[in-house]
Amino acid sequence: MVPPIPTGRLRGANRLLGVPTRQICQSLISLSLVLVSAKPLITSAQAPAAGAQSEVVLGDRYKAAMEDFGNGEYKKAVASLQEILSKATDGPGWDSVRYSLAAALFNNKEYKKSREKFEEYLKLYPQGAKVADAQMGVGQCQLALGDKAGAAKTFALVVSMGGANKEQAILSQAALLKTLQKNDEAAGLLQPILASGVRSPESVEGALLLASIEVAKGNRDRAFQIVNILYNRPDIVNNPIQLNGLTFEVGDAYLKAKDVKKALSAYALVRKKEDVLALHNARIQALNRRIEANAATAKAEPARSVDLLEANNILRSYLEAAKGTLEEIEKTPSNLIPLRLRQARCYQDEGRQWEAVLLFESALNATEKAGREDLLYSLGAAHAELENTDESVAVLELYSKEFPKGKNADSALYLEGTQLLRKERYEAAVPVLSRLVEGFPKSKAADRAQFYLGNTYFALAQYPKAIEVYEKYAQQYPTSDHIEEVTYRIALCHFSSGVYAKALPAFESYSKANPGGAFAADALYRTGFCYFAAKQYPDVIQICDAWETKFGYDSLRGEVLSLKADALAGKEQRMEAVAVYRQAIEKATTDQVAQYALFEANKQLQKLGRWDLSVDLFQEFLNTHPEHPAATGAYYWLTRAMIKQGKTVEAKQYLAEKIYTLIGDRSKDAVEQLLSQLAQLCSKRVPTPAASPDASVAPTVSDNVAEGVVVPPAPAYDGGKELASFLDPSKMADAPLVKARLRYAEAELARMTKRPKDAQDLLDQICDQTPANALGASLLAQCGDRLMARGQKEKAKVFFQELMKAFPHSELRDYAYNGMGQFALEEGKAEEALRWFDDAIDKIGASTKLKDVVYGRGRALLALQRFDEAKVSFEQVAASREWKGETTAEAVYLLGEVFFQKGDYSAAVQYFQRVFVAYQRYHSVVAKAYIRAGDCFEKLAYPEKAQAHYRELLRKEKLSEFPEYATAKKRLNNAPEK
Amino acid sequence: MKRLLFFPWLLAVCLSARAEDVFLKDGKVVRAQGLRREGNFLFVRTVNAEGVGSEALLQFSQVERIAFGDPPAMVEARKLANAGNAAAVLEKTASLVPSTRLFADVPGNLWADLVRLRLPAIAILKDRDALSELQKQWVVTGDADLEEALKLVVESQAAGDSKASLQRWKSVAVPGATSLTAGLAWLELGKAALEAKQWKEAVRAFLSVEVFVANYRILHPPALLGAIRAFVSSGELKDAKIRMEVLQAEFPNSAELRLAAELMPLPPVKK
Repeated sequence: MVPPIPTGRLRGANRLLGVPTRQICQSLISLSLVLVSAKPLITSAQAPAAGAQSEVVLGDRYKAAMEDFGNGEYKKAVASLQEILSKATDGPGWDSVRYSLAAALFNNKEYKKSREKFEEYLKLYPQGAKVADAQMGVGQCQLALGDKAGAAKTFALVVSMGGANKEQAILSQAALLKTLQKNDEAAGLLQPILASGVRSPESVEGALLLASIEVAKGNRDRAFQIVNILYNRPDIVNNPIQLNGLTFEVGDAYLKAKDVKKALSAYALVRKKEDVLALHNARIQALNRRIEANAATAKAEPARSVDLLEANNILRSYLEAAKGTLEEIEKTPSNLIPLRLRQARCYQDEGRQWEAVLLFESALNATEKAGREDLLYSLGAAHAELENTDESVAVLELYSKEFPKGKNADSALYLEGTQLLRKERYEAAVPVLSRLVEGFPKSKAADRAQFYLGNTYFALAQYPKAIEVYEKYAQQYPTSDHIEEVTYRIALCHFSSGVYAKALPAFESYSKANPGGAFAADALYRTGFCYFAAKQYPDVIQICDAWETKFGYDSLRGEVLSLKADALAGKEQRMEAVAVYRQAIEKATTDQVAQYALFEANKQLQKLGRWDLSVDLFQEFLNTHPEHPAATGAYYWLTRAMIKQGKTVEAKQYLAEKIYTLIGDRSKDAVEQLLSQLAQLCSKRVPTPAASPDASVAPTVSDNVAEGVVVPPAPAYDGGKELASFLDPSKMADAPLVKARLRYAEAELARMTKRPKDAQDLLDQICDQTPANALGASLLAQCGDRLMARGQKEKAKVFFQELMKAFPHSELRDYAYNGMGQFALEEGKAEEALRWFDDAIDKIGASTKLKDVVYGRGRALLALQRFDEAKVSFEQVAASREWKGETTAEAVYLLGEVFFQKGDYSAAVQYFQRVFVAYQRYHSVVAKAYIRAGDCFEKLAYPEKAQAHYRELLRKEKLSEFPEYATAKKRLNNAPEK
Repeated sequence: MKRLLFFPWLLAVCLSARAEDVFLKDGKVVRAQGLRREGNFLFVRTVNAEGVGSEALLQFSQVERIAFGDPPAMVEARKLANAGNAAAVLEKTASLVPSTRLFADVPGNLWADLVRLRLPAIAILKDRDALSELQKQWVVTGDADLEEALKLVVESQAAGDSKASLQRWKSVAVPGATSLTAGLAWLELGKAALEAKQWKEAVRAFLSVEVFVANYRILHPPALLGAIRAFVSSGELKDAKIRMEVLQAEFPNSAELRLAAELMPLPPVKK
């Protein structure tokens, strides 16, 4: 994952022998200029044949040539110098011209000619001032021409000559030896330069070269030591970019050797581009200050002026070099991303993903784009590793957006897809996995992606799509590891779609091909289920028996026994069915299966009228499963069976006992059901054997008189007193939940004795006086709804959120999903609302709130202008008989709205008219429908019909309280008179 | 009067048992065996090849910089800081404050280096007295980071974990920042996140210290301890263990290691 080292000076193409080419040229230029100023050219004595005028001309030419040289116009300089040499004879000072020509040729990259001219100089002026320089020039030319051996010899010669070029020659020779992989020899050469410490730019060059050689030799610690020394001397390091490059090299060497700690220490030294720039600018300023100070001192102390000006010449050459480096630094790309990637890799090698994440994130805002691709992918992968799914998905999405064809594009999609699946965000996973499957068919992850795509469609219950993907998978990857599961899943898709005719052969085919397969037990069970769907009960029983023989100890045993019992029940062998259901309860491995078998067995017993056996069934269940989630429900049914047996008093007593034990337990969400049942039992007088069969009607005095019996009238029955006699708060914990539940029992009694106002007040008291986190699921749901009806949105949200948080598996969560969806709709957040409603249906089936949820979903879709889907939802509400009421009227009205918004006014008006014809009871809807019908007619250019509707609205006094009444009036007033 | 002049000289000699190079603006370097200061004048004690000592008088305007050698206490304090021992750093550097402060305006001075040791130690230990003393003695360091860090520490101790403090810390704790200020801010943000039981935020803040503020190792033990605390609280025991091992390897004698060990659940007893 670590990208190659950034191309800095160390590895750059423009580097020559460890000393940057530009720097070599720079030194030649400087020398030449010094020559110009130091030696006035061509005197009359040196050129007797030429006249004074021509001497002046040549002098001017030379000056001009040197100016061209100084400006980097080497070609022009070469031409001028050659012209000078051709027009005049040799003489004192001529050596400078020849040397300058050789230097200009070198800088113009004419190495062969340059070498000839340097050699000519050496031949003509063996004692010349520039002999060592010329020899050095020969060496550089040899090197440039590829004559490494010759260059090495020449550099050695320069070294032996000593003088100002010695260190430079050593550097060049050492660099050359390094390229020849003679690292020990090279290191040996450099040691003397560093013997007195790192004090001059040459020693810095030497140190950089030596460190690089030590890395190559595997002496990481020695290299790191040198690097550390250099970092402490920013004042003399002329090329910090080169130093950074070297530090990367040292860090990489440590990383490769798995010495993470030292690698991190090395990377910690690397300076960011902005820091390098700041430091380098400071160095330039310091050099300038020193030059100015020396000049000032020289002026003030003439005796020291020679030394100071000489020092300034050296400082100026450093300054020029530093300025050149500054330009180079500015052009160099930022090293932040490569650095962060490396540091992160160090941490990742130690299992420290969090640290890697921090490093990746810190580089995200880097202006440079190089390395960003690796950065984003690595960050996404690190978040995935940490199971920070949301963060991972967000980063990988960004990656795919920025680098749709990047080198990790397929892996990023795969990772994003699997992360979304982990979060069960199936809708979002589909396009991601599809992009991978379709866009990268040759990717290593393509087969797994296709398999997961099928699974995703399956999870979304989009079975036809799932089958399509699975079948394509089976065709493309017939030998894949997942092929067995794919075959099974295809059958499962048919099964889940309810297409048993296709599911049956598919399961049978799977079972035949995979008799010992991972899904064999399930396949056989579902085969039985297919026969059950076809009401072939004997076949079901036979398959279930075969299943028991083959997979008797499988965890599905409870389900299989339930299926067998269902088949027996289908054959009306009720007692046998009950017996098998009881076995199923015993063998069930999940609460749901036990619950199903328990209540199905009870249904059969009810049909047989065997309330005694019902009592036995539930009592046995409660004895064996006292903590089962269905236990509270079992109490309810047990007491119902007791009542059916005529044991009402005992049933009340039993209920009360159970309520006492459960009322303080928030997690028992069926306690409210028991309270409601007790309230119901207490709402009427218990019929005694002698009393009237209608227990709710107490015998009157006249009845008794008519029968000739004189008995005192029975005292008026007080349900509240009766209820209170069973629920004594003093025997219960003094807790908000208990108080709330007792109030709920009173509210239920009020509702059953037709005191709706009292019932509402009591529920309001619960809402207002009990904190949400004290209530159980049932009261949270009911309070949330009540608060929503009272318009207390924020408080209602608190109750709904608590319901979702504290009872994540409760069936009553649909109250919360519905409530949150309705609020989102109110706030104009249609997409959010749609998500809540979809979740209510998909995640929990929305059993209690289905009507509201479907209706809300329609409204959300309408707001999103998804008219066809909205129409389906409203039609579902309007067509459902069980939901008949105001919501039906609203649904019909909104069907009109769907067509109105689509611009189909003729269709719309029919729905609006249907509202005020068929649903007159719902005045607010009717009023709206009249106005909207008027709108339709106006759009259809039938203003008279529109006005007729407004008049009809005004005739209905009951509608006068609605704003539409005033609208109709206004519209009629504004209508043009006939 | 004589006595008064003699006293600082003695002090300077005592403090300058090591050689210090005085770099002059004209490029010359004077190797001093002792330095003393009087106003704008620098008295430089030198010893020639024959071992004869003399004292030269220089104007500060002639001096480019002085390469002060590290006093042994400073060397020791650096080691202690690297070992994460904040209390010992404070103790070890206390005696260096007056002499270092005396040359705080001379280029090459050690004042900023001393503050770099003392300030984080004070912040970690929440030593109000030492902080107030440092405030009184404060001389501009020329290091914007140190100036900012001092402000932050003072404000934090005054305001506690207020919302305004949080905002201020957040504004300096920028991902990738390597400054002491950022390091201290991350420590504070980590603590605030721990208080608020925001484990991920705490982990991010604490680990940022080690990752980005590599130069201030003294901050690492409290940061690692904070991260371990957050990991343990969020049930990420594997992650906690990894950082525990780092703490153990890098700061074996730190107080934080002992505290972290108490946080870690005991391994199951092998039967």
